[in-house]
Amino acid sequence: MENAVEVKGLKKFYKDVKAVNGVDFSIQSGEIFSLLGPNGAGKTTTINVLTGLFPPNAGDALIFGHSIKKEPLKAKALMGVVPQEIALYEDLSARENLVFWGKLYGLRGKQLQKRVDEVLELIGLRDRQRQRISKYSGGMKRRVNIGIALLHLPKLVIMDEPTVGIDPQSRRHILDNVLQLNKQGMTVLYTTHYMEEAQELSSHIAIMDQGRIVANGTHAELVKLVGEQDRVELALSQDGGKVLKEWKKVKGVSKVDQEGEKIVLLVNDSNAVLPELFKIANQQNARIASIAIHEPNLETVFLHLTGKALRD
Amino acid sequence: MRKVLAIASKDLLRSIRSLYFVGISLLAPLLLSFLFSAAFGGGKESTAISNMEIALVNQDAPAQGNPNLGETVLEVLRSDGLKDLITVHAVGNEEEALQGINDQDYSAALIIPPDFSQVVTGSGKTTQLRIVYDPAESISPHVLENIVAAIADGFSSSKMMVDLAVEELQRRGGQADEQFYTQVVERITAQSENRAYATSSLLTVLNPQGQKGETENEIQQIISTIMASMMIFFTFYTGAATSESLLQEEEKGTLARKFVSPTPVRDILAGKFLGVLITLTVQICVLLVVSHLVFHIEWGEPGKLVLAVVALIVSAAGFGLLLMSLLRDTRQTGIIFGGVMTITGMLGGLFTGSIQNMPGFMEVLKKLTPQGWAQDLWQLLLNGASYREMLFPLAVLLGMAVIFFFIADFRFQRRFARK
Ligand SMILES: Nc1ncnc2c1ncn2[C@@H]1O[C@H](COP(=O)(O)OP(=O)(O)O)[C@@H](O)[C@H]1O
Ligand SMILES: [Mg+2]
Repeated sequence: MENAVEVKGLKKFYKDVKAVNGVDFSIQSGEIFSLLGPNGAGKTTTINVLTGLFPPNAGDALIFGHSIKKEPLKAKALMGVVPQEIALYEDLSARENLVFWGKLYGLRGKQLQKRVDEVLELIGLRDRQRQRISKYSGGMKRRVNIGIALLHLPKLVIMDEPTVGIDPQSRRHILDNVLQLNKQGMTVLYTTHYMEEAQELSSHIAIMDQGRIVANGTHAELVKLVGEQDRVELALSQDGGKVLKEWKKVKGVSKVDQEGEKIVLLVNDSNAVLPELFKIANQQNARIASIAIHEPNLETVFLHLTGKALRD
Repeated sequence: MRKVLAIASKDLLRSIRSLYFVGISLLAPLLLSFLFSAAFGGGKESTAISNMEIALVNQDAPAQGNPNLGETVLEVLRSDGLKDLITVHAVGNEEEALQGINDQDYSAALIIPPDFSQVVTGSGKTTQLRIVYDPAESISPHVLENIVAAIADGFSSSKMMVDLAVEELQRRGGQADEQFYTQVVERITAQSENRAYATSSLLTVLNPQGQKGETENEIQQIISTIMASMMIFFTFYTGAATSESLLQEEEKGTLARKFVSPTPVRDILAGKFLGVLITLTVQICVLLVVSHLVFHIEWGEPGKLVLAVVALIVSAAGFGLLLMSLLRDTRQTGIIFGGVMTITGMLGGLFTGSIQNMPGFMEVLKKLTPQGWAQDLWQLLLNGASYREMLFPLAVLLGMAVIFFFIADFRFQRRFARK
């Protein structure tokens, strides 16, 4: 199948910042692809270059085979772009905004009005379409911001952190929209610094940090990078030196550490191992006061790869 | 092209919706013109003597076949020259007129006697026009008296000429027949009406400030000059203000959003430029119409007016775009609105337009600003200058506009193409 996006050796430097420093990835047609990384990783800069806002210092991006450098108008016509910062006319209504942007994407006449109606329905703002954007809540603005990118039914939708700073309800609405659009066949490039979003939405995830892709693959593939072990954190009601010794011998437990009050275990499959751990504790008359199980996730992967937390 | 228009019309819609446009672009020039011209001696009408209600009883009964000169008096009183001053109501008889004065419907009544036409065109006898007025009224009867006196003068001298002519005719053995009197009456009628149109002498007497009729024209000229200057100043101001939307959109991200749509940079800039031009066109058209209706300004021949409007729009738009293309962001625009527009406007003579004989160096500085040339062009227009006389300032303004647009376009293209 043809790749929706192919990014090759992309570099973009600001005066003294190497914002994007040699990035390669490709997105298969029909998938949701997440670019995950902390603030300042270079996600927005990558998006800006591959949507043709400004040219790269090196490399190129192909959108369904069209080079953004050589055939910018062809490439741009295939994309719908949701910028990170809300870019709307506050003094116009939602409908007026949609109609204007629809025209810039070549829609007109009945087709334009029809698409505007459909998008208003999709983003759930039909009732308030005549109200000026300045009267909208942050979440509603975000939804209009997204709606604009969908008007011309693009084969590829690029969303740059579309859920930043909004209420949980609007956020859920947006995530559901993304999944729904993808079901209808749209390819989605989604950037975020929320690992839960990347995990829920995407088939492929690229983890970005300091202008580079540090890891790229399916969720399962990424998790394998840190080993597929669960991390179990618990506290005992009394000193349990003997208990810890017994736990180390249990099959499937690879590590037992005392970290202050906390005891940390790395286990292959917490479901299989926990009953045995409880049994041993009981035999030693030790009570488990609290317990938390952490399955490996992208957070752990990021920590493992960069030595720092995803969120600041 | 469709996208260019979409951008321009969206900008126009946004302009018109903004309080700024209504306040600064439309209300400010009108209000300032009004205030300035009030300082120069006020509006056209003086309320003290405006619109007196006058009753007219025309009892005139001319000889068969002769026109009714009482009707002529009525027409004169209702002519354009007097219509701002008095409103004449023809009433059936004297009683009705007196009743109207008692009821304060009329402030005075003029009674034309039955033998009026006969006396004016015939010979010998005399007659009298009578004015009846409400004693409580101090000014109106006096005004009416003056007007009627002037009209009566006209008829009296006509009558004198007729008497003379008839005598002369008889001395030569001729006879004044019906045709002769008909001709006389026609001439008197025509003459009276002419006098009425040239009523400046009547108004002279009545003006409370004791100004001559000519002053009315002068005031009108001053208002026109001030209005033109204010319009030029605020058109340039609005030109810069609407051009600022390029910087605002750059900061708000809507410009970037246009750039990632399949629209060439060239079309986006063309749309923005066109938006400025259209907004200024709307502004000027509203100002021209309103100032014509409110201040009675005659802006001149349509063809010349269109040329002056076009030159003003393109030079103001070009100047605004040029200024904005020199700035980094909207935080720097304060200096444009607070400083550059005011200083260039001042150098352009927009605040001193009616002062003659400026020092020589001021004349030179004026020629360096587009506002100065616009001011010259519009003054020529108001003075009824010929196309030939308007050609030079027109050409200079258009030339400046082309240069402004060229530089602005170059700078914006470069700014948005690289980045
Ligand atoms: N216009 C700019 N000028 C200079 N530096 C910039 C500019 N935009 C972004 N940067 C820098 O480039 C790096 C990447 O930023 P960005 O692409 O916005 O990251 P992200 O979207 O992942 O948060 C950051 O260090 C940021 O400070
Ligand atoms: Mg970003």
